[in-house]
Amino acid sequence: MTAPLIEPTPRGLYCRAGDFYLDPSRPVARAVITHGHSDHAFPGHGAYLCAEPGVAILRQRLGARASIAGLSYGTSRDCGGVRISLHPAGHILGSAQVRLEHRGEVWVCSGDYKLDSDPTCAPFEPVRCHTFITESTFGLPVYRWPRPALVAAQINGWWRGNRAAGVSSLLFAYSLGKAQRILASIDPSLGPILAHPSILQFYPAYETAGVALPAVDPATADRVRAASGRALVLVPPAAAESLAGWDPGPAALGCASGWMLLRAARRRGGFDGGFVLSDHADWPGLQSAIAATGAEQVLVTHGCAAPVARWLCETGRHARLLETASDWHSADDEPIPPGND
Amino acid sequence: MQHFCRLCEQLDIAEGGPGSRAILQRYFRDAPAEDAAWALFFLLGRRPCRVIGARRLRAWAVETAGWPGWLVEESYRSVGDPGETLALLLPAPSRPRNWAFADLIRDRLLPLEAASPARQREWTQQTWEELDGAPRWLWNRLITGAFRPRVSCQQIVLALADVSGLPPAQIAYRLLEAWAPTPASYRRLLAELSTDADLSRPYPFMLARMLTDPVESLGSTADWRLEWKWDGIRAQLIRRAGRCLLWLQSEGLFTDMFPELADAAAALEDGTVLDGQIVGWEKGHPLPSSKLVRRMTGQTRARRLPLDPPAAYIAFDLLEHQGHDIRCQPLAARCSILKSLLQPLGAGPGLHDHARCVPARGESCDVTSGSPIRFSASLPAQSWTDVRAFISGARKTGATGVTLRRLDSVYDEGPSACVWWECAVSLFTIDVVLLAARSVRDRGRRGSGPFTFAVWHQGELVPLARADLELDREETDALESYIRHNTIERFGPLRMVRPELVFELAFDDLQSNPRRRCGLAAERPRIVRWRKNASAAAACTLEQLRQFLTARCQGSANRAVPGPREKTIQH
Repeated sequence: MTAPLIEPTPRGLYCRAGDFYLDPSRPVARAVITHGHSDHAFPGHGAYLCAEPGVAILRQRLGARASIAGLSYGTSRDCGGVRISLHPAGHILGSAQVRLEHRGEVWVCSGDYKLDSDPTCAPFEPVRCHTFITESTFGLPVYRWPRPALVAAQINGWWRGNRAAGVSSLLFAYSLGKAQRILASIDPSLGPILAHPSILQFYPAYETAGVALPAVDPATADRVRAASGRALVLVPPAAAESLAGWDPGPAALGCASGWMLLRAARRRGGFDGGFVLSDHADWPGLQSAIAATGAEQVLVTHGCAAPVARWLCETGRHARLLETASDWHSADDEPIPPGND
Repeated sequence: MQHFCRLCEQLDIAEGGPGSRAILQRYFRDAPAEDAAWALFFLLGRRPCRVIGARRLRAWAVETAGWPGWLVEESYRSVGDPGETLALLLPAPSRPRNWAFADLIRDRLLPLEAASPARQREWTQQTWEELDGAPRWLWNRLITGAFRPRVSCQQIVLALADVSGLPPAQIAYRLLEAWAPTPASYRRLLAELSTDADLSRPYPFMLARMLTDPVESLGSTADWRLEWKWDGIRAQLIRRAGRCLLWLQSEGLFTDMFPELADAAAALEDGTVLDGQIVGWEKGHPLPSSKLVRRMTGQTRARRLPLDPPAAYIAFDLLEHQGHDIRCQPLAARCSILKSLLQPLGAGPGLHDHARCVPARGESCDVTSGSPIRFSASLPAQSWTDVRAFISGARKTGATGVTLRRLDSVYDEGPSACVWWECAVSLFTIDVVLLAARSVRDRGRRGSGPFTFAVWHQGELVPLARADLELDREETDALESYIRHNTIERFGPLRMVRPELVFELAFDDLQSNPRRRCGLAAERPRIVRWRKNASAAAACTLEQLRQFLTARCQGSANRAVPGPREKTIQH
């Protein structure tokens, strides 16, 4: 039995053969980054490798001095005898699954991924492999997403209704990925759109990648007040405190997240508009993605790993938990997990 | 169906707050009468008996969806609501149907009860195939009898009053009458009929204010009527057209909860309205109002044990006499008529025998002897010194203070009329340690809600009471920042904080309560102030509280106990 190509370490997933890490949480010499969310792209590494469309995002996160290399989807690079290639994961712009090939053995680490359509990034691409490391944020059969087009229509309807009632629409959405996905999906002709600066900081990166986004003004206290009753204001949940300084007049509160499927999450947040829109795969998505890899072995991490692994075993796959000591924190892009504010 | 589901969701989010009224108002304005009638039925907490047990429902859902039991269990742990878990686990509807709420109740829910178990399963599964999302959740809740709306009766009454343009009193009165969840009955409920309009109407309550100035500022004692203030529920007792009604200031019509008072009121003549206080009264002692509130809660109601604890009605004013509104007469005149009305009812002696100023403990004034409707007698005070003596003695009689009402005053609810004063509630205070805070979100802003406070017990902190804090802006910010930086553990929205902050907690009384970890329940706990310089180690201990309780039970003076100190907020 040969040593596993990828093994968990306190710093993150480690490839010994190529001497590099995947999404390490503590400083290392060489890191392959699946996508630019802050719980995957940590600062302080010696050299970064990520998918070409994600370079600008990483640059924005890590500053001008970080050494970042981009790799086009599907092309490969050799690293200590390990062939690395990156393949679209459909999670956010520049998100990638990492394919590693070493002495004929192929491993794929999914990173975060979704199968639903998203106008702001390349769609998920199944990659055949021997071992598949999958995330499992929403790995329970209760989690099944409505079609994204339907959700976009719901957001439009909510905004239109609020406007008719003279009420501002405050929508919580994570600043990278979710917010841009919403902006690219909704109908910008309904009224003025304002976005928190932390959302707008990634606009150039999307422009570079050729993703068309509607014109949006930065949300400041003055603009929010001026557009009161008409505007759609996008705010990341982490910046909820900044609402204290704004005066949007009467406002309806919405949130776009996979957790919005649950009544308890909507109630706890006091969300009048709860939109089930996730950048993670739902239960059917996980199952079909795993099946499409044809993997002999599935390692499950990050979220509902235990039930997913057990389900895979019971349905005839070789699956087990992958204990990651550094643990990817799912809370970052999914703002309101149940049982936790 | 969607309409009603949306209403439930909005009520959930409003959390019984002031927004509920507008939400209900919108619903009842727009919903067809058929649906609205059933909505009203369920919102008022009525329900057909529980038809399907949760376990059977789960078994059917598992059978339909085909998931293994352990996966259902895992899902439930993630979702937290059995009805919702099953609704989400079931496959998408194969034959979607847009049910009207009333139709679903009539065609599916009501026949379910009489059906055979096989038919029950068939109909339930058939309905699952037709409903999705929130309606499916609602269906699961309804058939298991687990639908609990987050709305108070009072808010429903107010909303229906808004929709119909009728006074709330009339709506509440009509809801008391037998009505069925039918469109005709619903329309009758909101219809403009004048016959019953006046029969139920209470008068606007005149409220006493807290006296913050010294009592001497009120002038001469001879101008004032001095009475005990009891810890109870303010209510008007209305006797009109052969019916007796109790109108609670906080809840609206609530007659059915106090049948003994309604029975006793039958001895009054028609056209009488009393103002007074409902007080729990047992073995000669007034009980804290929390006991009465417990009696009024749903559980006791279902078990039909409404007479525990027995209630007394302490009448202190007369608003309507022989069918005439006498609120414009001076208080002295109203009270003398009131006294003459109540004396023939034969109220038991003791309670109002104030010649000795304070009735001895254990004296017979049980409500079972004589009528439970009693006259609130005037306390004899020659000088303000006497008044102060009554105030400091209030606690020993079981009263929470005294009220002072001007003898020449008319009954007027207007804010300008400051002629009723409440005075000098003595209470106990102890130092407690902040143990946990619940985070709440208000319009997206994070904040902290009810706080849990603890006392020491063998080197550990045990929770004693939960209370809200009323701090100024600066203190609130300081506290929020402390909580953010000193959270040691989280349980859902509950944050356990490093136990370092000391607060002064006031409470009315202490009861033993075996259901709680500390074994004690503080009545009406509230925070007086943040004791910034106090050390957590010096906070009160459970042993001190237990000694205090024992001392109180034995009737000995409570000042001897080192723990709780009696505090007079104002004189």
